Amino acid sequence: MDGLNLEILAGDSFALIGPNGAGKTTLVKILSTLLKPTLGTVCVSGYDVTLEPEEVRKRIGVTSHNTFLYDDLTAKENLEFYGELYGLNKDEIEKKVDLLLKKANLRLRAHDQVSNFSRGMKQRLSIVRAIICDPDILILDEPSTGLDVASKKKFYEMVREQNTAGKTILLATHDLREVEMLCTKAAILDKGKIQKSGKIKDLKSDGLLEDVFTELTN
Amino acid sequence: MKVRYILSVAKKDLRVEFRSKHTINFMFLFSLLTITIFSLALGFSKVVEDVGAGLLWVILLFTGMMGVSRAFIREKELGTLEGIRLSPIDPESILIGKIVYNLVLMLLVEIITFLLFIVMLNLHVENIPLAIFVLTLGIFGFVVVCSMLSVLVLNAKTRELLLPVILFPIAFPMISVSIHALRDVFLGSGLSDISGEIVVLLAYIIIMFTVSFLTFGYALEG
Repeated sequence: MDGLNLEILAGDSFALIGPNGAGKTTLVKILSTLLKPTLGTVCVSGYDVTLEPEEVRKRIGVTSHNTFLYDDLTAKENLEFYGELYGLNKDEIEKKVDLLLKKANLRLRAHDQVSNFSRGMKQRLSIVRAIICDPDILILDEPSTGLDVASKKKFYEMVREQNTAGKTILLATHDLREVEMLCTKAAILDKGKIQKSGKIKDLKSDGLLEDVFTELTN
Repeated sequence: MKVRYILSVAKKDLRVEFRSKHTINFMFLFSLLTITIFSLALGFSKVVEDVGAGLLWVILLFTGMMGVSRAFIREKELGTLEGIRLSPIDPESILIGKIVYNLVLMLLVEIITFLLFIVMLNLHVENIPLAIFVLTLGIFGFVVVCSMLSVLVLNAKTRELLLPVILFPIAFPMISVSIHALRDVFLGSGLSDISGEIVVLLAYIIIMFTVSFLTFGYALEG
């Protein structure tokens, strides 16, 4: 990261677009407290990621191409475990797991081991895992890698539902189609610097988003 | 640090392990194989009383290194360690949860290995509870040190090779004292005869636990 200055407002659906190695994942890791910034200040929901990481973690849900799921546990057991880590009690977990698995079309597979799930099912379960704590912000780092068309569609539906419910969405990706489907604002990142940011419709006012992206990152 | 988080981590690890049985089967197999080899080599020799404590520690040390280090390495390989780190629990709860899990695993292996060992090597132990107590203290110290060190080598490409290299010098004082105390018990000593060794083992556990507790957060950040 180099001299990065970025503000994402509550309720936004914001995309971080950039080629491989642009710094998207590094920024996501800093925002989700997995990495500490060497310089500067990063705040999430008003909390400094370096000084109050636990407060930040309470307010974010993260999912990436890595699902953070245990293959040897069932879908329900995975969600119960993560629910416990977020301090939810047994009754809350029971209610939320049931409701969220239903939304993700996974209710009938609740007691199946995750190792038997397809990539799309795992990714849907991963979103459920990320939102079990009812976070203010949903951070998605290249979440649709390896998903087929139907799985992507269901996945996008779940993300949009979260945004409609008032959650902030931060999507890091290089899939521009995904950006246009899920986000209203974006920043184009290259070599750790923001090349351009704003509303997507403004960014592509001079042409296709793909052309703007290619021009700025070449 | 909250007990419920510690129990959640330990419960989850035990559930994963007893469902997959990846680690525990390997630990039991290695243990059984080594006891069989020692049994074939030593037969019913009286020398077992003198060297039995050392042989038992050889088995438990290597079995433990294979098993205990897996608690963190497996999470790293699966990518689930980041999932735990993303949740709002303190690093110390993760460490103690892993220590509890490793301790349960090692105690199971310890009890079965110990009983097989005394049967297959025809070792006469007058005070079995005391022998198990001494061995358990050593195992506790080993689990604390090995759990902590396995996090330190987590990001190394050759972590399985690196772990024994840094583990042996740190665990050596504890293993040495434990072997001496256990040998004395095998030769008929009582609790009062080995009280010095027990104090040393307890002090080692407290020191290592404190060091691990204070440094684990930094180690986990990598």
